[in-house]
Amino acid sequence: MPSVLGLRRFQKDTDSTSAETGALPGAKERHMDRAGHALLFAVAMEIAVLCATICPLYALDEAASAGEGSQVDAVIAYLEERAPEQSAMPVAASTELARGDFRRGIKLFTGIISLQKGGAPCYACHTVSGIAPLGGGSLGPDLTGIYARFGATGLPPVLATLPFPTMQPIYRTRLLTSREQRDLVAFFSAVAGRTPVDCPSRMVVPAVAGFLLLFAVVGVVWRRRLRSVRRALVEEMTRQGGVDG
Amino acid sequence: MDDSILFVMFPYCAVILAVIGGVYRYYADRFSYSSLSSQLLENRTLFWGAIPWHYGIVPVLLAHLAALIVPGWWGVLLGDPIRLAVLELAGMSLGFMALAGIVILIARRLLHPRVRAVTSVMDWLLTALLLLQVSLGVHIAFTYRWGSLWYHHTAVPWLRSLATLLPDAAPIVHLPAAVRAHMVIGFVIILLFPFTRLAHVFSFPLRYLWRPWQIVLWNRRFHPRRQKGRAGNGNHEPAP
Repeated sequence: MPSVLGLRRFQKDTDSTSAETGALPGAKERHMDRAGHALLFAVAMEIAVLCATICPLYALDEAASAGEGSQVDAVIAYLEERAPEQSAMPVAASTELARGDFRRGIKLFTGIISLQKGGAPCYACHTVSGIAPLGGGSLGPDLTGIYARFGATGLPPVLATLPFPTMQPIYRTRLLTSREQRDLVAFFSAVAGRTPVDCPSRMVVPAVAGFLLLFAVVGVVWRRRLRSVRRALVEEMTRQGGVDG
Repeated sequence: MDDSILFVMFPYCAVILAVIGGVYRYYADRFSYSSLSSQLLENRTLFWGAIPWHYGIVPVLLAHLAALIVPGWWGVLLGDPIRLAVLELAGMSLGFMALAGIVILIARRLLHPRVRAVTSVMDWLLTALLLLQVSLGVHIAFTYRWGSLWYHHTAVPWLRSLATLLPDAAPIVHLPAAVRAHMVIGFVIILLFPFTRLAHVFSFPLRYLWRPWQIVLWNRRFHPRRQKGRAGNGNHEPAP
């Protein structure tokens, strides 16, 4: 019976507090003291939990996906190898590229125009330097340099098949249409000269500001909360100089 | 562990156990279908723990559910970088608030002897799991952007495949370990519903929102202010 035990222990605690300090249990100083300890403890605990859980998860990621990682590397190596061979046909490639609409490519990348077959917008997992105030996703790699890496002829086959283990289940039945591929190639070629940047810090500051604001709102909204019935009565009595008889 | 065990068999087992356990507890021990309040024992730290926790976690959970129930609308809502950034930042702020809330609640249970005395083993297990789950959630939100968008194309198809009894874990098995751990722990928490104070999610008194209001009147004797010399020395007896 935890509740009964709890009550007994609570009673014991209350009695001992009253006896030791001669004050009421739950006196203000004690609470202030507790609040300070609680805060310190909370910070220490959070750091410990993050270190204890997230570090092993990263290790697990690396270990478990070693095979998968090499699979991705193999795909990329294959595509990179093929890229120069294919650039032997520049005429066809440049004609294809010319048909792509760079502006539509941006909209496809950021999801403003949905992909025709319902695939996830690139922006969900990838970023390209300078596309939006807070950048694109960071689950997958930065695609700013993808055009430079695969070239005008190497990139279209990648976009046509999306042959990566993480992407396959999502796009297997929702591949990009040929128009979408052309527009995206045009977009990637236009941003090829940019330097990749990551911007997690841009997220942290507004998120922490929002969090502090929410905490302040909580304090303001509930400022007239019923803090305690008995404590308030006791404090009022004490202020007034004691109780009759 | 094999992916089909973690992401197909375990979720089904967790939900089945939660439903059976929940129904059993409702009929066998209905009065316990709540969260044992410790507000009487300590209420100052509780405020700064319980309010941020609940106001943080409930909208975040509802967002997870909304994407699952109405994925089309969710996709449209997030189909603009500005809207996505605003929603993600709101979610991150709420995530931080929930994290701070659960940390304060755990610290309170550890540091206040009266509250510690009424804390059961299952309470510790549950709060530790919630802390872990929210920490992972916040970590994922910052490390693997944009969670709300890729969730919609990975976890949602997986969860819907489970719901339609055509389980397919393919969309999620290649996600980072932190994300997969978040999913498994989510089902562990579902499993714990009927065995912990989490049951109060289903007994929340929603009808309080529309019941007639009540007026509470206090009867208090009026005490004229005593002479200055006697006041403020702090050695007075409390009110009887």
